[in-house]
Amino acid sequence: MESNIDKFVLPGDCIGTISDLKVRIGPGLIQVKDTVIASKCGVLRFSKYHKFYWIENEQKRFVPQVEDMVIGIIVDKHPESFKVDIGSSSLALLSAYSFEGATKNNKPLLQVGNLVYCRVLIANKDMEPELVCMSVRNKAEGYGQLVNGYMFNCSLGLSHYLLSEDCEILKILGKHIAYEIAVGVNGRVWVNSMDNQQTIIVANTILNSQYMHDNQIEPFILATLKSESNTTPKTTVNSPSINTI
Amino acid sequence: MKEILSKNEKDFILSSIDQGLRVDGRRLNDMRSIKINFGKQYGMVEVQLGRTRVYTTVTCEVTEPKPERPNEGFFIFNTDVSPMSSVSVDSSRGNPVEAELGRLIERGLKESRAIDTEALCIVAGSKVWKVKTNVHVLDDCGNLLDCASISVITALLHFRKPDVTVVGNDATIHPIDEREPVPLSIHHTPISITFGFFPKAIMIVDPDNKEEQVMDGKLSFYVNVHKEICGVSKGGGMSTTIEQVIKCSKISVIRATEITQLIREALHQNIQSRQKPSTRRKGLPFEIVEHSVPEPTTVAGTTVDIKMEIDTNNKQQQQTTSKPTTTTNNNSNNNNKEETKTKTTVDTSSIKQQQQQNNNNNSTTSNVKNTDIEMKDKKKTIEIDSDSDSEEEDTVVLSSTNTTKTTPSVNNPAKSTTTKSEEPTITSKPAVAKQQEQASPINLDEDSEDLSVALLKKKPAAKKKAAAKK
Repeated sequence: MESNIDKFVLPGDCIGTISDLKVRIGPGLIQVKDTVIASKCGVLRFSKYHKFYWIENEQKRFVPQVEDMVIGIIVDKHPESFKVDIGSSSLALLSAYSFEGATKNNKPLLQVGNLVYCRVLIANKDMEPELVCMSVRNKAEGYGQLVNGYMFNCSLGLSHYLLSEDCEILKILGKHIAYEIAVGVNGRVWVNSMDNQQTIIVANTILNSQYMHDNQIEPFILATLKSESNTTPKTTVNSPSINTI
Repeated sequence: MKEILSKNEKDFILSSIDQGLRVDGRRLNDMRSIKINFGKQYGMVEVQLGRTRVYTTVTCEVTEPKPERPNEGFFIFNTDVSPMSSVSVDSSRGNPVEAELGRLIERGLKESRAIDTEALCIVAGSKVWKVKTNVHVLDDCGNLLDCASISVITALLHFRKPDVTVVGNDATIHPIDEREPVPLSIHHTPISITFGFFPKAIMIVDPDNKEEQVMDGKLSFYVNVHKEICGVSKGGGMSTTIEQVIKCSKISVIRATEITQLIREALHQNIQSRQKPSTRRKGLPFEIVEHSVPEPTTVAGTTVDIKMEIDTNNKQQQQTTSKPTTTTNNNSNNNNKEETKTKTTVDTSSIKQQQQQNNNNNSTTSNVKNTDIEMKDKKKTIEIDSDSDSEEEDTVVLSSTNTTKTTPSVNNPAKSTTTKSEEPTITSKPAVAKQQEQASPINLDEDSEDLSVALLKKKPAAKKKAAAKK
């Protein structure tokens, strides 16, 4: 398995065998008896932090898998559950009790249109997915409602890249702007910062950085910050390149 | 299913616009970048306004006019919003966006007299042109109307209808390859510019899909470069003040001028690029002829020379060596060919192999080369027919193999692709080919033309074959 990391694979390629190792496989990989086989084209990636393998490609359609961390929009409110849109083929179900410390009398105050950061608990291709807003230890740990800020869409590949350890763009951005960010593997990214201008800069930089080399990002950020400070109404921040994505 | 926008996004967009910021970094009055792509045929245009994409095709046919308007042709607009364009498009139900889009563009063009229906008349009362414009929305990322209007007017400007000559009541429509097609008569280029309104009297130009869902009202101006308002569309939404409307009209003229400039440049470039290849083709045969140095090749010393040519490395050298011996034979082409016939039969085995390859490969050499056969006939005495059909004919493999591939398995004319860039080789002697390559490529081409010339007796047949292959 290790030998194939960061290599391009095609559907049907045998990635490796599972002997006694505990291996977590993610999107794009299927277990067949004791071998792991790729089910889509892309580059095989391994995350040391999350300790799992997945196949990364420029996909836009999101297929939910168990343990995916996603950003959802609440579209419907029921007495004991919410219907959430996570970009999959069907709306997902979020129980009102899947929050830390939630009881019958203490339900979360979520409205239609709120953003939630949650984890996929059940994901079958025939059923609607089920979400929870807490970790395996039943603590909030970052899950829950996302307040204020701005959310934008990006490709699945970019969202996986942002979650990886060697993502330079977020570190570089952090040197210049104070912001908080939540990345959903369903291609949605939520950003919040001190004021709108900075949030817009962060959002545009992340979108534009997809096709930039790491050493181009810092000059780009500095240039936009400089131009922002000069003029009060915002000047265009490479908007054509966003449109080409 | 409608496209869902979260509360966070709505609040953010509204508060940003309040501060004069737009989410994609544009200024309030900035439009997104426009890209115009033309298709192969006249009248096919794809326009991208940011990420919104609209594809328009224009076609025409001849029909009878309406009895009450015998002099006027028809302009028909058809809009098709693809379900791929947006989540909120439901193909089972009629889409109001679709109908509105088509209607607005049609009325904008017709009522402002941008398109002239009287110019479409061929024979009054019986034959008129019907120009059909199909607008396909491929991607809806906001501001469909602007993108569609740019795409429609560009397609109409780009379109060419076939030339017609009218004699009395008979009209002859000339096909496009016979006579240059004629552009439509478009008097001016109206462009639509859309504005979005927000609270506190803030107005933006060219809203994208998120802004469209959040804004209070929308106003579209259909203007042209001459500051003429060809149409205004405001469907519902909040009320606007007079100052706002006047301001919108001024901004729209400025934007329309920029866009019209862009359209004209793109059209000009495209029309130019269409005309270039034809002139290139005409120039090609003469180029080769000029560069080629006609080298009379002998018939008398054929067998020996041929063998030598095949065996030795530098064919050009051999050709030059054969020169002095062939001077006497240059005039009598017929005799030479007969001799070649008899003499070349000696070395059939290897030649035929190469011959087959030549046949396969030369059949795909440019048609231009075949046309130069006649010019070279007089100069070259060894005429080789390497047409693929005539394998029984005697052919001598000379430098024509420059254009052939080495693989003997290539017996498929369809597969072999002879381009000048290919390595000229003989299957049996790849080394020979490489050296030939090192020689000037132009001479090699010239030799291939020699080879493609048929023997005199079989010349007409070969010519026909060459013509057929064209």
